[in-house]
Amino acid sequence: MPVDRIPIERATAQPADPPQAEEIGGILPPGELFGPLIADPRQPVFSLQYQDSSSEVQDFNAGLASLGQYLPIYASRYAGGQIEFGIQGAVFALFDLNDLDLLNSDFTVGLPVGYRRGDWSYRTMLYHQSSHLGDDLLLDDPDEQAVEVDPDDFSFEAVEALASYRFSRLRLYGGGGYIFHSDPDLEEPYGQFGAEYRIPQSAGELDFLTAADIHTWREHDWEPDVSILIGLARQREQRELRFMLELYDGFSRNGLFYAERLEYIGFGVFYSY
Amino acid sequence: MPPRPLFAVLGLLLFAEAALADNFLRGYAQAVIDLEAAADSIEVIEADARGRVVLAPEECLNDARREQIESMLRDRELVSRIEWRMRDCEPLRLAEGQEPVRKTVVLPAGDLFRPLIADPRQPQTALHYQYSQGGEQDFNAGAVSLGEYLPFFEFALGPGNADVGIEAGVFSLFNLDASSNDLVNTDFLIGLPLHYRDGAWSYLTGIYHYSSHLGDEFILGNPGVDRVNLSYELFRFVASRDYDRLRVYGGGGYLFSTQPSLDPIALQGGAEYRIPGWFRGLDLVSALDVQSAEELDWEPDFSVLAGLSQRREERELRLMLEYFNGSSPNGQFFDQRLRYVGFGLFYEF
Repeated sequence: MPVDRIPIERATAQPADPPQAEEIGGILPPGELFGPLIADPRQPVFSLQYQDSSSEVQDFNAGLASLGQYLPIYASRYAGGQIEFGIQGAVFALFDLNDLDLLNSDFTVGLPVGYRRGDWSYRTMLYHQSSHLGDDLLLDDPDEQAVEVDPDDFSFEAVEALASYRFSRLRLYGGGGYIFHSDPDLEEPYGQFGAEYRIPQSAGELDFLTAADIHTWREHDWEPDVSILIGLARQREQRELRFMLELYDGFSRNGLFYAERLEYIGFGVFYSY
Repeated sequence: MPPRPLFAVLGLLLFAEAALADNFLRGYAQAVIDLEAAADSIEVIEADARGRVVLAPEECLNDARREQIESMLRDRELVSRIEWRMRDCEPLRLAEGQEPVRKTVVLPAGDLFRPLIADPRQPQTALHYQYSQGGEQDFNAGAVSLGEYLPFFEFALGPGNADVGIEAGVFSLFNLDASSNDLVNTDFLIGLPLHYRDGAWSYLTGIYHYSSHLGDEFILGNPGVDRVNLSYELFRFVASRDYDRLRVYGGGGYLFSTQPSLDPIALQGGAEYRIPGWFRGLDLVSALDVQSAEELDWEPDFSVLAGLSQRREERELRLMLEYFNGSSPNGQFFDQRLRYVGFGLFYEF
């Protein structure tokens, strides 16, 4: 089981020292000291999602396929806790389900460094995101396009830092980032915080899980982008399968549509290692 | 194009070496068991270079003892998968209410059928650099692939085990010579495979969907480009046989619901060879994949990889030199010849 997903039995055990280094240290460790942000729309994960979407342009049925992973490379003891280095990457492909047009693809790659000591965990990460309009959107009749087309580049590099604290069933996290290079020119600072609540084995072998993620960005005058997920999860060792209802209200996280407001309700199946 | 007779000779030599070579992992695992669990009278009846061992105890072992044996072997990081042969076990040895040895597993490890590591469209997570020659000009290419097999269930089926899940991958090609590293092509693949393993034989069958998309920067940089809009469904079957250090496989597929219209038959074959612990705990790995399609007049596409691998339990990091010569695996350019040399970094769970 990933170190940052601990069932209630271990969460309440004392002392709150990290697991033995032999369990997680060395090359290709089990990962991951800083657990994934379940409600973050840009968390690397394998997923298929249906989103009943309403944007500033029109309503449409969207499908989102994401393929991504965190790949731990090396971990060791450090300053009374454990530190871990890895790489993560993902692609998020948005489709208009009415005609299966590929609308947008976001690619992300990051170099996270995670640290864990007791119930506190931290992550700092240097990462890159680039976005690409779908060929269907570029080549189809503009009169039939679901959204306006503006094929300018959208890419940026940023550094972010997050801290997380785990209670018995609750996890809280917060932090932010700084976009230091972008095309087009984007406002630099953003904040992110959220919470996750899990009841292990609440329905047989299934965990009840709910999560909320809030993203705020000076580019959007700090208006919050809210993502909420509720559903069930099944864990086995390093693997987890989640069935989640989704709610989103804020500015679109699909790169080239970043300036448009977007609401959706939907559901998704998520598989993480 | 490498001469076909050379590949045949190399294949025979590899097979002979594998057949005659000492079974390092088998002997190693047996030595560990004889040293630390001699009283259980367990024979290691099979082993392969990927760390899989098959154990056959003289008498039935309960779940607790099996877990102890497995933990002992997994502590030696050369062993990554352990199978038991206890077909004649009587359930009377189990405590009342305890489940039998072979049971359905939810979210299993999913390694009954190992990935085809030289297949350019094997869903896997990798970064590549490729010096490419093909089409109108040579160019430096970067390729990113993200993908995995996501298993849902593993269950006993006849004498072996089967698992079912979803296999998905995305393959993106970037032109590194362009000022903004233009996205040239992205291929998506999703499939519903069933894997089956009985000893050294393993099988894959399933239905796959494949679609290809031009990159936005490529379209903008090539106004009026004739987009192929390739997509198809594929029924696929591959059989694989493991030897000591060698793996050989072969099979093919039948395309349907194709766009544009394509001839349906495709064939695939290949081999993988691994020397565990070849250098400072790193494995030496080489692999060959050959594909041919009726649509392309059966001209073979060769993909050859060779390099080093670091394994830990079920995780593996490979650094591989790559060579490809054939019809481009990048969907929008499938009917163009392509040759590249380069290297790739692969991470496998």
